[in-house]
Amino acid sequence: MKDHSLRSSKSVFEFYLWGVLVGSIWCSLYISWWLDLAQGIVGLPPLFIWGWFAPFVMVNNAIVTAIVGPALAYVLYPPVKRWGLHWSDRITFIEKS
Amino acid sequence: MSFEYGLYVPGRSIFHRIDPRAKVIWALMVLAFSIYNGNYVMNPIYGGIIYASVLIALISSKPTNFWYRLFGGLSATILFFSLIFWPASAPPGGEPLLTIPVLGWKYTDLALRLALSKAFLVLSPIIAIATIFITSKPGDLFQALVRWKFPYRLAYIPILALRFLPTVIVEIRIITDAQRSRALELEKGSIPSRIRKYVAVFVPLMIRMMKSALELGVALDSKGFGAMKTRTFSRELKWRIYDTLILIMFIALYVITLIVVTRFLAW
Repeated sequence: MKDHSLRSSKSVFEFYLWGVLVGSIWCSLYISWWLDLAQGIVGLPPLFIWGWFAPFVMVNNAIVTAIVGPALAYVLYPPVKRWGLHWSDRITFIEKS
Repeated sequence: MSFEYGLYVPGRSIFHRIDPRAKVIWALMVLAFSIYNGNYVMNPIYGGIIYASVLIALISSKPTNFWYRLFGGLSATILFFSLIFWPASAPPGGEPLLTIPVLGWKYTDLALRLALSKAFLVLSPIIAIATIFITSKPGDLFQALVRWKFPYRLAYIPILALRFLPTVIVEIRIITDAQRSRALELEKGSIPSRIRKYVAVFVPLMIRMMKSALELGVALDSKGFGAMKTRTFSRELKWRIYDTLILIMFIALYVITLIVVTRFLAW
């Protein structure tokens, strides 16, 4: 996602693709994978992790991000950019010569 | 629900008076014994004893009702899910205790042992770690981490998050009241529309928090935060014999009960 302003249809589409769909799936798989791996320490049953927790996190993340995300990003983008707090203004990449 | 001191609840209990380092060691001990029990011994009575010890620690700290409700709900939820899901991973064999008529699922004593031990493995360390935060001031925890040779700039991050918690809660309360006075009805409408209404709370909250983060950065810079490699404290933590005794008492409790439960009790 290159344009974070959510002021063009491409930006909105990319947000829903990466932020809502891929982001939610990735987040739930990543947490569940860790919970499964650390099962001896955490103590949650594998059936619960993959059968209940992973779909719950996925749906929960997707719903909240899909409803709140665009509205928040649309309103917050201009002041954040103006104050120089957007991540692209804080990080400089080292270019290989 | 009042968080004017963050997670810390002021008091003069035994746990309030002991060194934060002793509390962290105690929580690690609870975690270690819970892992040992949950994975190797699988004795629900021993798991229950560890759980009871952390509950006593929590109750003796006299936290607010919020914590009782939170851990009561959490205990019920974890026990419920553990009893439902763990039997699927239980080892074969054992005495059948219950058979679900239509589905034909058998609930054996091994499944019950596994489910209860794993439930206590989840619950005990969570309550122990929460007790640390309830009974220790964020500044003392920060000092404990620094004393353990954590780089203080790194140790400051989680402590700062704890410090900001009450600020965020107060801000949410102020913004919600302000928006309500402008006729924003947060309690009415469908769930998606209610979530959307919260945008009117989140936007000013984010902007105010970003402003305070910027101000905090300036304040830290102006005080020379990070300029020196070591850091001094106006009120230094002191490890006393009292802290050692409390730790020895807990070790003795966990080791002796482990021996008694595994050697002399059938379950």
